[in-house]
Amino acid sequence: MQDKISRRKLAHYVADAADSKSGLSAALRDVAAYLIDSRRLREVDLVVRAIEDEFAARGVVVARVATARPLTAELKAAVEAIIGAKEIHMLESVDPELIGGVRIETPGNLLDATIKRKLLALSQAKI
Amino acid sequence: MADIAVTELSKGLRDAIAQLDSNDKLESVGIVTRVGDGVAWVHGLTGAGYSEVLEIETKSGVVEAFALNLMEDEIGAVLLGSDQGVSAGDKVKLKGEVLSVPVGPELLGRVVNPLGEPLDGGPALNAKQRGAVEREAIGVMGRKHVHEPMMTGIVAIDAMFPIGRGQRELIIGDRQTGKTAIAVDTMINQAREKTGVVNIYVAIGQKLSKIAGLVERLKQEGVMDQTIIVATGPSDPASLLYLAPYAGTAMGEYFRDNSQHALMIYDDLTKHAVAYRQMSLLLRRPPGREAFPGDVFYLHSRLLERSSKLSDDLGAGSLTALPIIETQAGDISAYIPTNVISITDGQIFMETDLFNQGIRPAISAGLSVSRVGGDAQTKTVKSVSGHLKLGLSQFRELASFAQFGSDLDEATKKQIERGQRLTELLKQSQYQPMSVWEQAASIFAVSEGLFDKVPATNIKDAQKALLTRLWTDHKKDMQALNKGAEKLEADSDHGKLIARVAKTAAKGFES
Repeated sequence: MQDKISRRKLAHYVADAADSKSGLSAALRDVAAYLIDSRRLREVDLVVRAIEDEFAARGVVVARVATARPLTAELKAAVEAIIGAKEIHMLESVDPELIGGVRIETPGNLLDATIKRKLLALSQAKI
Repeated sequence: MADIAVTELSKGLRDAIAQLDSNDKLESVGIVTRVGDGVAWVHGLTGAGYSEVLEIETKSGVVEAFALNLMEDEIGAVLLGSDQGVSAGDKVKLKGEVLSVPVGPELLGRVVNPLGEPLDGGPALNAKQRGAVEREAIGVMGRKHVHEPMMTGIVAIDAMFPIGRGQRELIIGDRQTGKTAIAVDTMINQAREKTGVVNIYVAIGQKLSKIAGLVERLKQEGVMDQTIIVATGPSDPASLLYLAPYAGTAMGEYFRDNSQHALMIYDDLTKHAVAYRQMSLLLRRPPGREAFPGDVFYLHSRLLERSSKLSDDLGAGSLTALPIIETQAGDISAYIPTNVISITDGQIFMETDLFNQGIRPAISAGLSVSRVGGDAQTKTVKSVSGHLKLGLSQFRELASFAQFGSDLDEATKKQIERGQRLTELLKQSQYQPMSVWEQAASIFAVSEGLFDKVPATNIKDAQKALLTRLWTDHKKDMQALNKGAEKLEADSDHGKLIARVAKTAAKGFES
């Protein structure tokens, strides 16, 4: 039986293809075909994560930023400074439940500086 | 209700909030992809180290785990608590440290779990120091040969298989043969003889009722003040059973490193190996012989190697280990027993047959051995027990041979009779450890032939009479003998004294 290809290797392949001329979509088609062929469709989410991780390692970061109110240009710049990557694709969302602060999620990293989390942590802490 | 200073309360709250305030940096975070049977698989956290603690944020609070499988795509982590609250999608963070437990004198007299949390309903521990659960053993130059005795108070052991401080002596035998009893008697003897040795009893998957009974007994005997009990029950997760001996050893090492002496009892390593097998199989590590993983030898060797006698430069402390192994139908050639036999510095083998014959402790003279304890034996006991082991082994052989006929020559008959007396003499009730002078005087009386006219059935009574007479009439001499520094010989002053008293004591019991 052939050894299964690790998700990290698949991500590597996709990221390499994105850098080269052959293009991202062809590589994604290959990976999709492989996942179907090897009956690993359940791992799709994890493969996507692995690809995002790989891109982040190469300086292209997909960041999910959640705030209670829409970000101003100034705050956006501050968030970008915290992420500190070459190329940032920011997916913003507004969630009033956060009360205040910001929550930044990048592949493999998290900064949760929201009031909601602080309150939650306080409620769980044994004082 | 007690008055609560409002200013203090608000200060406490402010401090708590300040502590919760995170720094504004991105933290490395992973995600639980699947969980079950006490094992969680985590995606991400590529910077995790082996055995590093992970914090899983669940809806009902933080559950800790430690990373054991670091693979290309994911981490296999063993949960330190229940897996009930953990679900796929939960965030996982690195704690940035390996497992550690509180150590120090604050733990004495307490019952704790392998994470150092009290189980006895007592106050919080407030230990000033913490010790790493996994720690490398002391190197060659930091050690010294084993030379001080660790008296068990059990005549058969102290005379034939002496244990030294820093030694690893395995107690092995089938179920219900008195393995734990030996360990407990040794603990009691440390308190009776005021040796100052700290006892650490590690219960691995033992019935909680048994642990409760043990604690009660130790309290009664006044031993609990110098004892730490690390307890895990059969319903605890395998990860806790796996950690228990390492955590207990970390607690013992504190005393060793501070020029004190500690005694570790691992009860028992068979269950420890089984817990590790469960974890390994759930972590998808390949099974080997008896389905144990390939590193099951290293599991015990790295644990027992931490027991040591330190050099004078390091304070000359010691950590003695009495691991216990349970065999099935006396099979000492099974996988785990052979492993641990080869790791330790000798073994005390308990036999079911002897136990059923009423010979208790049921120590097999032929299969038991102490490889390094000879140097550590007290001079007094050593001087009387030279031929004891050989004599007893020969007697057992002769005794079985003699069953076939009654036509035996005088010499053989005598040897058998002496053997029967010795066997009777070595019987000892539980919770009654004996001092050096008691052991020496008893063996001396039998091996010098002073009790030759006493029938074997009366030996115990004659021994009791001898010891009572010696203690009431010659207390000072016995106290001097108890120091263990002098040889007890037939022509020495103490030898003559004991011979005289033994002859009179024997008179009442001769047939």
